[in-house]
Amino acid sequence: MNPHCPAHPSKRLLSVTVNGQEREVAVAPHRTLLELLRIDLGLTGTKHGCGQGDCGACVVLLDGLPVHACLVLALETQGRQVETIEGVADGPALHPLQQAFIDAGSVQCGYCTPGMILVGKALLASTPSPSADEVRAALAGNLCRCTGYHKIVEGVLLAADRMGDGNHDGEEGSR
Amino acid sequence: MLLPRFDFEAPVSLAAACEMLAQAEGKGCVMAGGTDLLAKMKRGSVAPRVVISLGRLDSLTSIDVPESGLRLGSCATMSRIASHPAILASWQALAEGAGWVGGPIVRNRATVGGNVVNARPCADTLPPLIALHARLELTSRQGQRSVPVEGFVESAGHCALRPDEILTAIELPTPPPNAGSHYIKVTRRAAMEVTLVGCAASVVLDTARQRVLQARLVYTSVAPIPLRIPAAERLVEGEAPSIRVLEAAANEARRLAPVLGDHRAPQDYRSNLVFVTTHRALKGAIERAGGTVR
Repeated sequence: MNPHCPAHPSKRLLSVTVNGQEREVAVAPHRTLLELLRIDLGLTGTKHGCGQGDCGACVVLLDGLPVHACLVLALETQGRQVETIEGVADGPALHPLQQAFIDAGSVQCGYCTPGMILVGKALLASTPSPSADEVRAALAGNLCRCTGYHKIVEGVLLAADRMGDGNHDGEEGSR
Repeated sequence: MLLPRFDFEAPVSLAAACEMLAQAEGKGCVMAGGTDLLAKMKRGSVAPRVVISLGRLDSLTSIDVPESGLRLGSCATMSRIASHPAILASWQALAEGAGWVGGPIVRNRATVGGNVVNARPCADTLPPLIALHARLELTSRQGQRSVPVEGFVESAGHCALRPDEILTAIELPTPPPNAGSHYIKVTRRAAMEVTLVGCAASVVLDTARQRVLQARLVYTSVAPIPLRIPAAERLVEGEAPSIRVLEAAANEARRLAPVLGDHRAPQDYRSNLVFVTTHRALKGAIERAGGTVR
């Protein structure tokens, strides 16, 4: 570290668990979690939208909670758990939310979908049988310019239904 | 949007954080949730040489309810405050204010301490904190001081925090018996929206719950800093709660509120919102205190 030379702050070694895998990466202080995922780790499922926490396209789960990856410094995730859209499916088997989004027609251009799925996953972990209003409240920070939202809400409710029927163990952290 | 370059520290003790901040000689920024700071740094309106993260100071995230009241670590997130059972039971307006900040994803990172020191004219937790008599614990290398949150914000975006100080905790006294509070926010959309007008009301009723002993009315997005309107409070104090009394207070608040129009809402609309939010916030606070508005 060289505090007297802010133009070239040195990289630090970051250890973070991404989708269950421990990763060690040297990152500069100004690297955001979004850049770490997309550029350093090649996980481009997380989208870059507004870059200022308005649109929700970059949502990932940090220790299980939805956060804007564009407004978290990579170094802030030291020792913590990050889950991206790439970690949601169990190998080739889609997560019930992903299958429900396909079945309910919740995906059009797809740009908002990773964020929507991750917010839906966090919601169903804490509220396994949400009302439509609870789904809408949880998704209030995710913008979609295609679907008009109804089919996304339907997708989350469909997944909740299916997961409640025992088609999935529904445990947070199961991969 | 890219961040400019800066150096980064994540101290593991409060003493180390204070030392780093003092060493930065005014060129350091303390970061809690980062939802406001990083957005400002991306826009270029702030350019710290070093960012000092409070993210590893677990003690600052605590929410404790000792006998004396409520103690919030400054890094307690809006999500946790908005859903905390004790806060929902006894400091209702604060839970509501925290629950209105940004959207649900922002609230998982945004902190109450950040909302206070950012001192935005539209801050949603400042009116409830003032209505509920909160005090701030400020820590520096020199030691600690405690100041009331009322008067802490000096102008839009500026507060009485010294450059070497960190806001470490917010303390609220236990409300007396027969007390209630309510925060009303009006916006154009239900989330991710800047407040057009917000009003926090807190009241204390007498033991028979027939008369208002104390009332506080505090507004956001009305003036550059959080605004109390004592003349409107006085129209409620000593009175039996009634529609007539509430309307008198709401009219007085509308008459005295120095509202300005901007691109979000014209002046006369905001004035009317002062009336409406005063009325609703008072009614809600009185009912939560166990009173009835006749």
